[in-house]
Amino acid sequence: MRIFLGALFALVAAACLNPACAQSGAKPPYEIVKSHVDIELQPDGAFAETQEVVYRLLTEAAVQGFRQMVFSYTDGYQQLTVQAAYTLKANGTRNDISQDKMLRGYGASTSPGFEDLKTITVIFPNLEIGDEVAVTILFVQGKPWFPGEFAQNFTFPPSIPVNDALVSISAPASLAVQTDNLGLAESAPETADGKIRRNWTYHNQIVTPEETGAVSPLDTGPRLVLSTFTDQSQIAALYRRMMQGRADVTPAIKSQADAIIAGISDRREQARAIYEWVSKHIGYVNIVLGAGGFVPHPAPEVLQNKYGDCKDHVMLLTALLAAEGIVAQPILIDTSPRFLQPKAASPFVFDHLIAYVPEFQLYLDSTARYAPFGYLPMLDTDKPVINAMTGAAERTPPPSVSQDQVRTTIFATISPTGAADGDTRITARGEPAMGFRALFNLVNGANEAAFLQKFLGPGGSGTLDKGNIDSLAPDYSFSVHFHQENAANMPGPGAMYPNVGFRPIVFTPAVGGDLPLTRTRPYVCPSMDLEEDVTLTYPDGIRFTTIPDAQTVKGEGVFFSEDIERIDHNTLHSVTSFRFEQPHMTCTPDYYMRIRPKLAQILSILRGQIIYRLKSGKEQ
Amino acid sequence: MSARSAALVAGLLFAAFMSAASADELRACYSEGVTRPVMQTTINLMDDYPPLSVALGEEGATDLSFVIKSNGTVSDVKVVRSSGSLRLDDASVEAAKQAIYSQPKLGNQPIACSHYLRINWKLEGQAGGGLWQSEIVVLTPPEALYPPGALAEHREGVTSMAVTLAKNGSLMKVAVMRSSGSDDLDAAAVAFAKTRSFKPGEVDGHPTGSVIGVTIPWTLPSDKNARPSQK
Repeated sequence: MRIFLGALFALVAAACLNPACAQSGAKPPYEIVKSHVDIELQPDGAFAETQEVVYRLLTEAAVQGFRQMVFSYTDGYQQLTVQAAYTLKANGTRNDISQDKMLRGYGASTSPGFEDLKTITVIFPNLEIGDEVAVTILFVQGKPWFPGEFAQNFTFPPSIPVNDALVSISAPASLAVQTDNLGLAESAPETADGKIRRNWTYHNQIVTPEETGAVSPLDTGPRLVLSTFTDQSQIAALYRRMMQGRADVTPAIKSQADAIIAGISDRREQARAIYEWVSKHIGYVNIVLGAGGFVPHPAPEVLQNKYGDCKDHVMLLTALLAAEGIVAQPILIDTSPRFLQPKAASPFVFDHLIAYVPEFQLYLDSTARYAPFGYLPMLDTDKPVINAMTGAAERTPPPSVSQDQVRTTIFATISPTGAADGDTRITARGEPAMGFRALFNLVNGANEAAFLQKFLGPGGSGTLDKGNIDSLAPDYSFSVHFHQENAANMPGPGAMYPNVGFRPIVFTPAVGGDLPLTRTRPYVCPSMDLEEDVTLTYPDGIRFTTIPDAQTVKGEGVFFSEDIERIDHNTLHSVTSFRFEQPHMTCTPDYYMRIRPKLAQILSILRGQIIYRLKSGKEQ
Repeated sequence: MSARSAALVAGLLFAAFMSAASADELRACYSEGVTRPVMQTTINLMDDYPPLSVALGEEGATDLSFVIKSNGTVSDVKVVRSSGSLRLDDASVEAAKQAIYSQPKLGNQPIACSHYLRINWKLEGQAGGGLWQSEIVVLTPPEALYPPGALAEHREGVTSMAVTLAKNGSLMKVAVMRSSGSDDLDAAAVAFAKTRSFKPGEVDGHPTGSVIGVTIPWTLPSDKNARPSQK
């Protein structure tokens, strides 16, 4: 079951992004007045659950964000009813939302095979700041995902005041419910008639502003994980049972695999070919693992339909590889910014499935449409996983600075009127390469001019050479021939940065943008390696009053250098490099505070400009 | 089904106890000479009935003991006898904690005293709504029941309702889920549904409270033009 947490967290994230906000403790967008969750667990793992939530809206952003709430469930396993929904005005007027204002619809996908995902949307009209919105839902998991087992996790955003939160569970004494609690208060369990009832409460009025890139509260708290699963190997065993028979090698699978690897004798290259084929030819239905259950569609069906969700992709990939004698293992992973495994084992903290090929020691995610063979997208990097085949807890590889690179080379000439003409060539690797490939698949024909003008400004134009966009080679190169009006203010005197033209990769946001003044929570800090090499030829007669000195900043994983050289009377050559090298995907707040001065220094250097003017005819 | 669709009855029984003084010499509120404190606030069980208990049809009585302080507030609430549902017991404790009493006095002296309270959780009609929705029933009312105003204005529509039934099949509540677009058609649909009887729900052969979807399509009779209009 998913409620509208996505919208809630987006609301929270948007609330406080600039340093001034971080410092002043700006108002949170809403307050959780009440959040009571009550679970009645049956011996077979079925359960009924009510959620009573009341929010008070504190900002205009919250008024917009709470206009509607969407609750989702999976038919056949789950049922959902809205028992009550109302708004409470500041003057005490209560407006109940009638059932006929609640819309029932499909969930994340209507594709055949996924129509069991359903939603109920409750619309709250006429909201104002100061209003409370309340909803009580009854959720019933009549058929457990894993017979005899139950798990659920709860978190609260540290940046939202919580007045009265309660999680209660009544469970048969025969089902031992493990817990992993960080930050909630637990009262003494009560026992009666073979049932144990446990309660956890949480309230917090001391909030810390949202920190961009912070890791999930599942890692740092407040969090509560409830689970009857004994350990990770049990979860793996249950998964294997779900997947049994779903990745069998049928004649159709074998025939397709043979066709893919025809003419390829090297086994690793065969695996690459199969991976690239699945990536390119099987559409991806983007629903989180669990939303559509845990039983994949059989590989032959995925092959025939030419689409599937993540577990379907893994079944087909596994079957095609198995057809050629290559073993692939399903891997449970979480794409949210969670980097630790809770102590109470739960399958529901994973939202994605990828594959691992032990023969080549490679993780493969064919749902990442543009990921080269063996490259994992950032969301899969350095994550704690469960190998569903072996039951082992593993970790996907950490980032490598050589893996995410962008090399930008610009040659341009600036005319006496200040226009710039030139060429940008970019070679990207890793996550940036995936991003560019995805982007340029959307840019074509009619929208290409508009796309380029976004970077080149009014009067700007250019032509895009997309290069080999269909290849999944690790490096991706493309170029843009551009014309830019008003690149420089001629005849000056003027000031400009030592670069012009088409520049999709800009250093300032990569270095950190608006550097928050403080951080209190671990945050995601991807490694990267950026370099920009610009050769600018100015009009004859140019005089440079100021050229910034070469500068270097380095230490603790940070390296930056900028060097501007005058290579002849009217040509400047600048090379700017930024490398951020981390052993892991997350950094501590202490580390951030240590490197913040270096990052601030780099941002200051990036603001340095060349000051110039064009000599008049009278000047020597 | 709304959690509030069941009207709730609070039965409050006061157990009179002449207990020996406890170690901290706390008198029972019913002791001789003590001006019996009276509850000043109302325990509104409709608001406090745990929604999951309503859904599960949980009922029962929780016996509580607590201290009424000299300012009339309640402390040290304990469950003396469970209702059989820990969920209802927890709700009883919470309800008691919010109660305010008149000041207990011994003579003219305000005192604290120990008190007992039974909170009786009861869903009207002997059942709450069940967890499972059974099939949708389509009813066709006789022509005579077609609201005259709707006939005159040639209005049609479909009224969809949720009918809540008790375990014994008796009708507890009818709620309009989707309007036909006309108030008179909806009102006539509700009135008609209330005259019908429905098969109660069952889970594993045991009767249970349930919610049935009932749809009444209002379609104008073919001889509608012959009907005189009414003012």
